[in-house]
Amino acid sequence: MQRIDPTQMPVPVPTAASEVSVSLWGDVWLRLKKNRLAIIGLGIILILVLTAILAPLVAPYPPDQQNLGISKLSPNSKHWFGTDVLGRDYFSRVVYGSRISISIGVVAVGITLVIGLITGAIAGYFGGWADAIIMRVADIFFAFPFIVGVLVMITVLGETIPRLPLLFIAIGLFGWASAARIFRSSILQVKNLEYVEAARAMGASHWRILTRHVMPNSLAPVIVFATIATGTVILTEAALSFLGVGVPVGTPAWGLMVSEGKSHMTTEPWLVLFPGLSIVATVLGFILLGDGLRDSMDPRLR
Amino acid sequence: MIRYIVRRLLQMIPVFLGATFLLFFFLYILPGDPTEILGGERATDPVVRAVLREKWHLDEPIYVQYGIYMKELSQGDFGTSFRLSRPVSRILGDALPWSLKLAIVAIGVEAIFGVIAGVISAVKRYSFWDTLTTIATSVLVAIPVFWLGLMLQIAFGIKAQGTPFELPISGVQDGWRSYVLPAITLASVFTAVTARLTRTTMLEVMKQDYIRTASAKGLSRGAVVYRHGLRNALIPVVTNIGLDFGSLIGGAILTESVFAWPGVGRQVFLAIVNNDNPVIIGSTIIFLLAFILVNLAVDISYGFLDPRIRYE
Amino acid sequence: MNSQAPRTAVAPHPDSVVPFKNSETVLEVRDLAVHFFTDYGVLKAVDGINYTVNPGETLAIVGESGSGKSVGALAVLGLVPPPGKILSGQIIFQGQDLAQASEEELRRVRGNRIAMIFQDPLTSLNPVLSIGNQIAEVIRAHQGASRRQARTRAVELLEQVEIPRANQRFGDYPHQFSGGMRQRVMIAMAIALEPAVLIADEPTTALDVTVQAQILDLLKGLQLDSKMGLILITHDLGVVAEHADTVAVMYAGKVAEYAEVANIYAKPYHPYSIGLLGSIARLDQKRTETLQTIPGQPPSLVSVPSGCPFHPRCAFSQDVCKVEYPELLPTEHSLRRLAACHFAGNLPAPRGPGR
Repeated sequence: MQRIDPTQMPVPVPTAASEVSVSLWGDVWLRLKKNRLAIIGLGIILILVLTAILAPLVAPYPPDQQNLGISKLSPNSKHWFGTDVLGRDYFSRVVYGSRISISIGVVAVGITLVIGLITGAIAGYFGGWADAIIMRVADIFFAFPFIVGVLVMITVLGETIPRLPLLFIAIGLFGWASAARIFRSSILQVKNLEYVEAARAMGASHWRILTRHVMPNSLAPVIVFATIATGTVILTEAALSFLGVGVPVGTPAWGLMVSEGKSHMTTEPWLVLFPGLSIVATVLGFILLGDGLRDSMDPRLR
Repeated sequence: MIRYIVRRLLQMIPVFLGATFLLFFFLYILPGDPTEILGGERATDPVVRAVLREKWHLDEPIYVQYGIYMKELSQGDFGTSFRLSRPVSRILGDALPWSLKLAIVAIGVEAIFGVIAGVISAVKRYSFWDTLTTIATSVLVAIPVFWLGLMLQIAFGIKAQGTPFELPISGVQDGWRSYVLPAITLASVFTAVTARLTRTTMLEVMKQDYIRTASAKGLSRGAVVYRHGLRNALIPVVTNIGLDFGSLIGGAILTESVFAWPGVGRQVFLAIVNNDNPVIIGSTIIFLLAFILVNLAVDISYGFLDPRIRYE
Repeated sequence: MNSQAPRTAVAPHPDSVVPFKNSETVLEVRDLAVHFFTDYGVLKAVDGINYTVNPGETLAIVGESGSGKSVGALAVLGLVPPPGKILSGQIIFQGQDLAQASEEELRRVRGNRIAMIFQDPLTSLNPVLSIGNQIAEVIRAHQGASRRQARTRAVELLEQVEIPRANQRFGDYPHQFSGGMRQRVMIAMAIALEPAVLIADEPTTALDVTVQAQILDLLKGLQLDSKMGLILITHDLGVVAEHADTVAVMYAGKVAEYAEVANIYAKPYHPYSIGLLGSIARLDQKRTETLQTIPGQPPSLVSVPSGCPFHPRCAFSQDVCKVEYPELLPTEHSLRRLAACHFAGNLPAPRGPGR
């Protein structure tokens, strides 16, 4: 993951948990709406999700349909993105590629969040040696450059675990440290605020305090992180597929398509151009949305 | 101050040990049989595989294997490459300088362009330049490094053939010109992040009270913005750039593959494709070490940059 | 940020009717208005204030938060941050109207002939530059002195503000000093070029009470030597009583009362001043008397009440107070005793606390 700078994370806004659902998120949405770039980002993401879900309807041809007679056609009215070496309609393949990207984004970030939120919460809220241990382990994971760690895990387990789930798990696994660190830092700020003390004084149990007061108010930076992380994950999958250790050969996935098109790029540049642009557009959507969320959740910009 | 350095050093050691152990865990403990690759075409012969198992200590208990490995490591022995049958330390020793050189040039690009873009963006807030930078940095972060490399190769290598804009797209044989495209590709994302960080930090700093004091003293605008503002804003920015150096060494796998740059990243890539474990481990350890050492150096330098830490 | 926005023309007042003015007056603020043009509306931070500073004298500007006291001071040096602008008025300093001055002219005045110190010395000093450098910087910027000359002078100044071992501490950083010492450093920076006027915006609010006294005494001492005029902005009436010669009480962006300190404490005219002074514990009060507070809140400066801005909270308000704004006018036929109240000196029967 990109190393996230904690000073750029928004400061969580202290409100009672019950108010969180009404005033805080409503306010965030209002502010977000005003941010044009963020809305563009949201739009891109929506288009992506719809395309992925409705792929069979959007794609004019099945993505695997080979027809060597029409291979390597440049873009024309029947094949908007041309065809690849095996005569497959490129536009359809690009459309189906969105499915891989979306599912990687959701699943891997989901894994990262599950691990990261739990460990971050324990470390931040309970402190002490639990905190020390968790943060040490996180440091170890941080020491691995992201791609390298994922690469190693994939190559090692590549024979025993089916590739696609392995990809999700490996990518999701190596990101937990960032999520944990952000969530922990957020919790540290929130847990000492007065209303938490008040809840404690009223005899609320740790569990109750943690889930109803501390965690909801610490979520803001994590949400920003998750959005941007989705973009990073998509880029990582593309990079791995490009290197040949990502999705299995033949799957319509953008990174893989760039890799396969590389050797023909001088004569058929569209083979590299369109999947690449799709990656750029998709990730850009998440980045813009993430930035917009960060700005709209920053209490200092009210 | 010395205490600070020593403390950081001590913290690094368990991290390094933990990371190498994690690596070892992945490579040797998890399922998968290296003798398959080691044996190559003769791997089906059980005798051959037995010999290989003996040679590589694959039948020993895990902790023995780890112990042997760490001992060899500390002596600088990274084993022998399966693929090339040369000592890994030699292979990586040849490759490392190339990775370092590329990383240094990339850092230079990142630092210069990133900071300048960020400062201009902050000083001329909401201007055309500012909007341009915001959009450009967002887009740059979204562009996959390998794709950028390919696009640059097409633009400056192939389409520009014969024109004065042509640049080398592969290998290191063209002197300084070989560095241009790979360095730009490698630095792209980092430059964008640095520009944004610089801008954000500058804006934060300019809102501080001491900037108001500086204006109230009648200092020129330049002195206020640069001597007081930028000097403070640069602290987190410079440390960030320093940390990027550690990431640049490890993250150059893609760039080195696309541009056939003979660095460590390329070796890793080839090793992965060929299941060449010793090279994978060796490279990863180099990345780890680089990352940890760079982090340590940055932490220490922070003490010099920020007087508040220095005089604790 | 000095504005070049169109100003409402203000006819200059003849000297004979300017409060507290004499032949030596060094700074006059006349009908100054500073408005902030925000998304929520126009915020009238300062809406026509007048005051005068004479050499060697201390003018205290007193008010609650949001009364406009700080903004008025920032306007003198053209440091009002956007979206604020000086709308109208004059700031006459040594014969020049600063409200009309260019940025370059203002820059030459700042730190040099008019200096300003701020409330929190920790955040107001640059944490990564040594304090010695920050002082020397002012000297070099305005006088083109060499590094060595500036350093020598800076050490002299540190000694003048009673910082021990000044020479060794030249290279130290702000965080290595205590709060009181930091404020002394700020003062050293401010008096470096012997300004005619020093504006101190709540200089002691962030400090301990004991240190407060030291700092204020230091300022007084410096004034005696150099005949520097001091504008002391504060909300602390005790400080005003001890250290100021004249006081201007501000409310909702306007001056409510302006008089010599002894007189106003003996007999305040404006109901707001009465309320303020009534809320201080006094040694000659009976212990069982409760402290009077002024009911209500200061108004939002975006929607100031019509007529007299204090009328919603005033125990004496009459119908005219809601409609017509009372100008700051002399009472007792004296230009040293002004109040902005229709009934100054002649208050009707109170109708109980506010309305």
